[in-house]
Amino acid sequence: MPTEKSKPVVAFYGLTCCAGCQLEVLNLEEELLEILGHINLVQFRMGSSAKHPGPYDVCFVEGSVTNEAELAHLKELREKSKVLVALGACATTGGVNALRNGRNIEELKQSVYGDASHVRTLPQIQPLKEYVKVDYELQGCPIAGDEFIEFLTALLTGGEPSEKNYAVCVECRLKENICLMKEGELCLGPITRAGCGARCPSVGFPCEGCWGPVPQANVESEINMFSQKGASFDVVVRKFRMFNASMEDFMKQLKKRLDIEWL
Amino acid sequence: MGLLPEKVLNEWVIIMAPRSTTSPLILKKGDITPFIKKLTHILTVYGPVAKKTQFVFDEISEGSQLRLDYDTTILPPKKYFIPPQEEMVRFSLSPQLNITSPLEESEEATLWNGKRFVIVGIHSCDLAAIKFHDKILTQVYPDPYRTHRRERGIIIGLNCLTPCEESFCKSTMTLSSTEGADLMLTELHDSYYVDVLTETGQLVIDYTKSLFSSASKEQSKSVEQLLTSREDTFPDLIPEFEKLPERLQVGYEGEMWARLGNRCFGCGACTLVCPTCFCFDVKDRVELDLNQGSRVRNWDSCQLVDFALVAGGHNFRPTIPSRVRFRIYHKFWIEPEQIQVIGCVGCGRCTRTCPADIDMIELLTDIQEGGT
Ligand code: SF4
Ligand code: SF4
Ligand code: SF4
Ligand code: SF4
Ligand code: SF4
Repeated sequence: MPTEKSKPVVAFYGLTCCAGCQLEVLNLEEELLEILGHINLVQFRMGSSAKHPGPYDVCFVEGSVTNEAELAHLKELREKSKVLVALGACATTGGVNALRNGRNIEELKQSVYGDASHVRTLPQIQPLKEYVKVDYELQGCPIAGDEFIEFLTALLTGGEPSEKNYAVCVECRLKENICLMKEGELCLGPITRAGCGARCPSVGFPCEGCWGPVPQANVESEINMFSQKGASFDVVVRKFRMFNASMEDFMKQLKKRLDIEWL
Repeated sequence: MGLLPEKVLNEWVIIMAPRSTTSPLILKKGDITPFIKKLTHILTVYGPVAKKTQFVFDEISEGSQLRLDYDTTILPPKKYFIPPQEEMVRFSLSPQLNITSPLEESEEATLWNGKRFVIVGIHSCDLAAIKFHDKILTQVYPDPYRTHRRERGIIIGLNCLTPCEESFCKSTMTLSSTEGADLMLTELHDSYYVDVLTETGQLVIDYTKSLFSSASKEQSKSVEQLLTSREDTFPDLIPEFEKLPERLQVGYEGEMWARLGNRCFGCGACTLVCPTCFCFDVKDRVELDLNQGSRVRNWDSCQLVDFALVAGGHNFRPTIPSRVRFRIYHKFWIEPEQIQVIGCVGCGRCTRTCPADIDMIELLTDIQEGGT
């Protein structure tokens, strides 16, 4: 058994988000005790109010940077951490927070807060890796517990955590789901990174892309397939933007194809 | 390029084996349930079951689950011989490295010790694909794991009497494949006509004997007619199929690959559902106790970006068009070179599953017409 001293110091921090990813870690009830045997968890507000000033061996950061204060915090965490891991869609693609991208931020503030003079916010939401060096990313809204465990064991045994550079369709075929694209629905599975175990198609819902784009995502073909199924521009844009509004390649293709200036 | 179409043909003729070695039998449809029940006492039983609007192979505990009227399944029965995820070895790291392999199992599998399984209702295209694996995974890439499972599997085949959507098994000459099956069923009115093809098949019959009766001469004649009439009812959708390897060799840089590549997602679904594809990737996994672990192989696909990535970061097939082309070349050129059999049995699963609606019959027709 490693001593407290020899165990890596691990912290969790949340920026702007629903804290669902940390909750997902807390939900690993069966494995949590075993995990705690291997790490020195010093900061995890879901489980304890204890605070720790750092430095950290591994720092997990969920959420998006929405204002200058959060940006400063992120930079500070980066400096204090040997390994920084972006946790979940908000941190890896901007997630639903990025829906504001391309909109007039002053109008948005007004419509949400009324008198919005006290609200300080950055106009664009971007993945954490656009601000600081991110060593690893765990995608998803929320992340998948089994991916978290696999990642942690790889890190603890000195291995290189493996990336799933393939689409949700792979996991979906192995589960022998009825393919929703073939049923005429709009599924982002073919251009979305695997890792969720085809969560949505397995219960009959098309993928919304929360794991972010798969490498070499064939966005153009996806737009064509959606159009062939009779989807309107509006529907296609909404579908693509849901979790990926800050993903340049997605938006570039949409702009090119659908002639929308503001994306 | 050494490949002779006749050689390809000859190989398939062997696969289209003659029927019954002993006299054929009759199993009443109503007796399927007791038949399955008896089998479950000594074997794990798999067969086609309904999944919403489609079918999958799954474990059967009740005869009523079995849907012998199925058209095709999402994954082929290869999943029982090469599981999507398979432990090759288990290990523990301390106190000292200890490694065990499932292949080391000492007890021999017999019909009676619960170590064998039976798959009921495999169609001819899938039988041909099993034979294809029997060949390529012994002669070219010997695979002890698959062999281990194959020896434990008993196969009850089922003749197709109507073509299923997207298939082209008449062109691939797999429509009448029966080799590999231990028993072969043909639906005949309210019964199944049963050809006993192997000794193992005979053992199964002996064990469930009371449920079978001998087939009459008329019944044999009816089945004969049913089976030969398929020559007319099944369309030859890709004439001169055996010429494909030759025709592929004319063009490597053709416009066709770019066109398909623009459309394809590189998602790999087509190869995962393909009964002849066998590629896998190997990974070591340590469990949370940081001591136990396993070396696992997972189905892989030449359509995925990391498939041809090698140490140092070079990728032999870095683009989607190059990977689409490779899939076709592997099946229709490389495999015929290796074992004189084309790596496609015409099941149509790739077309049925492709989210980009890439159609195998169209694609192969383009090649036949010199369209690469
Ligand atoms: S349902 Fe979606 S994720 Fe599943 S195979 Fe079809 S396109 Fe891919
Ligand atoms: S199927 Fe798509 S939307 Fe659903 S969890 Fe997976 S990646 Fe996210
Ligand atoms: S290539 Fe397509 S049609 Fe041919 S065997 Fe594979 S899945 Fe079936
Ligand atoms: S087509 Fe691709 S996945 Fe299938 S056997 Fe050939 S190389 Fe492997
Ligand atoms: S299933 Fe279709 S889209 Fe996916 S890799 Fe195969 S051909 Fe390409």
